[in-house]
Amino acid sequence: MMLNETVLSCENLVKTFGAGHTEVRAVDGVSLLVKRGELVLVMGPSGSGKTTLLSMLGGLLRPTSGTVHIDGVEITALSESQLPRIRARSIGFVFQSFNLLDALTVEENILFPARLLRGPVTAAKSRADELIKRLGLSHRRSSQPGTLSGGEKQRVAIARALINEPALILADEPTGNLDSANGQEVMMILHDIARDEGRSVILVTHDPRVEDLADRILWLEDGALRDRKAERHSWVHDPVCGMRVDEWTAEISTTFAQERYVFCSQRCLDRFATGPQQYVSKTSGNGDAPNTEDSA
Amino acid sequence: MWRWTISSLFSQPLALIASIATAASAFLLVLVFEAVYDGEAEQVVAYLKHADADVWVMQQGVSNMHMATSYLSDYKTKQVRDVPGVAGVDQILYLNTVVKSGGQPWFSFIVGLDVPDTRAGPWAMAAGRSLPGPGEVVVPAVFAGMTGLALGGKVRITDRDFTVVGLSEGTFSMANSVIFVTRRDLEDIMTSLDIVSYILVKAETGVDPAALANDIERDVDKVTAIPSGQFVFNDRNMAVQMGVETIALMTLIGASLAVLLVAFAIYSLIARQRRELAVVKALGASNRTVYLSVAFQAAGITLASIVLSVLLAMLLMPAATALIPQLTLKLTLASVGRIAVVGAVVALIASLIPARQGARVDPLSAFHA
Repeated sequence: MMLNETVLSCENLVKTFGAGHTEVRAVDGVSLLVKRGELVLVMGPSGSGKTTLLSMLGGLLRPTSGTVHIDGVEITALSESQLPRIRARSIGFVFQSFNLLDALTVEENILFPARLLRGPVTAAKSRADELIKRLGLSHRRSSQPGTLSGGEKQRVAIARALINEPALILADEPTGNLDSANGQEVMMILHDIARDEGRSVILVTHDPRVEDLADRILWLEDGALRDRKAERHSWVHDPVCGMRVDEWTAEISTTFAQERYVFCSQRCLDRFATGPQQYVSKTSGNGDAPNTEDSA
Repeated sequence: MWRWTISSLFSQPLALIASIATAASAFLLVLVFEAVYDGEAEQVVAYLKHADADVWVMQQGVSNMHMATSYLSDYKTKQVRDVPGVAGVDQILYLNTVVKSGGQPWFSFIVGLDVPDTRAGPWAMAAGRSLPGPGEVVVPAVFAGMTGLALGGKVRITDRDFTVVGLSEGTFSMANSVIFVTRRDLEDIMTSLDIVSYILVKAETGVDPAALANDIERDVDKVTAIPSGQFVFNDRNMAVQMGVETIALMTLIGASLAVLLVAFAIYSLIARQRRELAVVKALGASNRTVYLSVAFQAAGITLASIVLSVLLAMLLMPAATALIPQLTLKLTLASVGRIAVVGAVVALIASLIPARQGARVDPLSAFHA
């Protein structure tokens, strides 16, 4: 296994929606290299462009500019008719809402991407058997998706993503619809896929519990990406609404009576500005507030 | 993909059954139109087919009987009888006119027979005598049933009343009912004497009717002689042409209805499958595969609808005929073949818009499902 081999690279990736004064730059000049066997988390606030980025990396959305290479193939240069085959062969998708095909059994769902490639089915079937066993789905092989628990559904979705042995797994909030135990289990499976099989996994998530499993954490905000693996959080509370805010990454802040206050939104800052006294009487700088948290 | 296509089709059985049933009703409509058309076309020539003739002789230039007028002087019957190869002849006088029973008019073909030495009368009877005497009439049993006539009842032909003495079978069609009187009575109605309309020729054994027809035309002045098969064909064509536009229009309406119903069924199916289509496209299904999947589903629904409509037609047509005796329905293999061709076109057209709709599903929406 060549762990230094680059599976995914994108360069100066830009995606804009709309034009003129309504133009939104959802992804703004993202460049990224992901090596074989690497598990990369993409985190960021809602609307920061995470899913847009993931869609472009998966060949589901054409970038406005920039390039994406998967396993040496520049997918941004491929025609619409060539992309489906690349998606089926080189990329495995795992979705937040599982997206299993309701009319098919567990085994048929897992085999679905293999059948799209029209290759020999025998090898795919034996691979499906192996995945079913490995992911603890043997007793559910002939079940319909509607009868599965959330954790089982996501394990089927992961098996489906792996059936064609793709180099890259793209997972969008895979733990988003799962309880903590199932979420942890799914994360461990994805972690093992990267570590044991040498597949690259890019995972979009809001879930801070999974950070420890990642090789790298990328923070996407306003469409731009930065590495924050080494960062720690400094959780404080917005003095107006009380929402938890990371003091280190918060961009909306003000200083009052020589104390720094951070806010979840411009709206809270504006409200604060109308009468800071009523809010500071509760706290003296939200960094010094009694409910300040600090976590790794 | 095929497994998913088929499984998806059956995943909502009630919706599928409803789709097939609605499309089948449209195809059934087309089949009924065709059956009425074929039944009528068959019934229009029923008299000609049952008349015991190898060659039909008529006024020169006339080539059929339906709505036609043919007059020959009756001495020509003797001339025809003398042509070598002729075994026997029968002559009929014929008039298209309205017959009234109980004040209800019915367009009819009146056949005047040379009673009693004729083989040109009705071939099957429901009641009474097959040959009328002076002032008497034999009417179709269906016509009698519709107008409340019974043996001994009266019908009016132009200005004369006739007494019903026989109820015939197989002589009714919606286009023309065949009613039998004596030739003398019909001559009286037409105020003509010593004329006939058609001479029915029986050929000697081994004589070719086509050759005999040629001989008759050669030997008898100013007549047209046509072998029976050709005469029946001409008559059916003439009758069919008169209704073909109406039937074609009805078939077109039925087929259009089928297109709309199948298209709607497939459209609804694709709308229900929208989320899954996004997923299969995200997983790597091409637009071509999606098109084929939609077309396959449309073809499946259409095929099932056609089979159901044919089965329903076979089941319901005898019941409909028993319930409405004036209706002659005939389900032919050609009709079923035509409906299959129409069905293929319907499936193709009906799948176009839903297939485009399916191919346009953005795989990106799989992330938002």
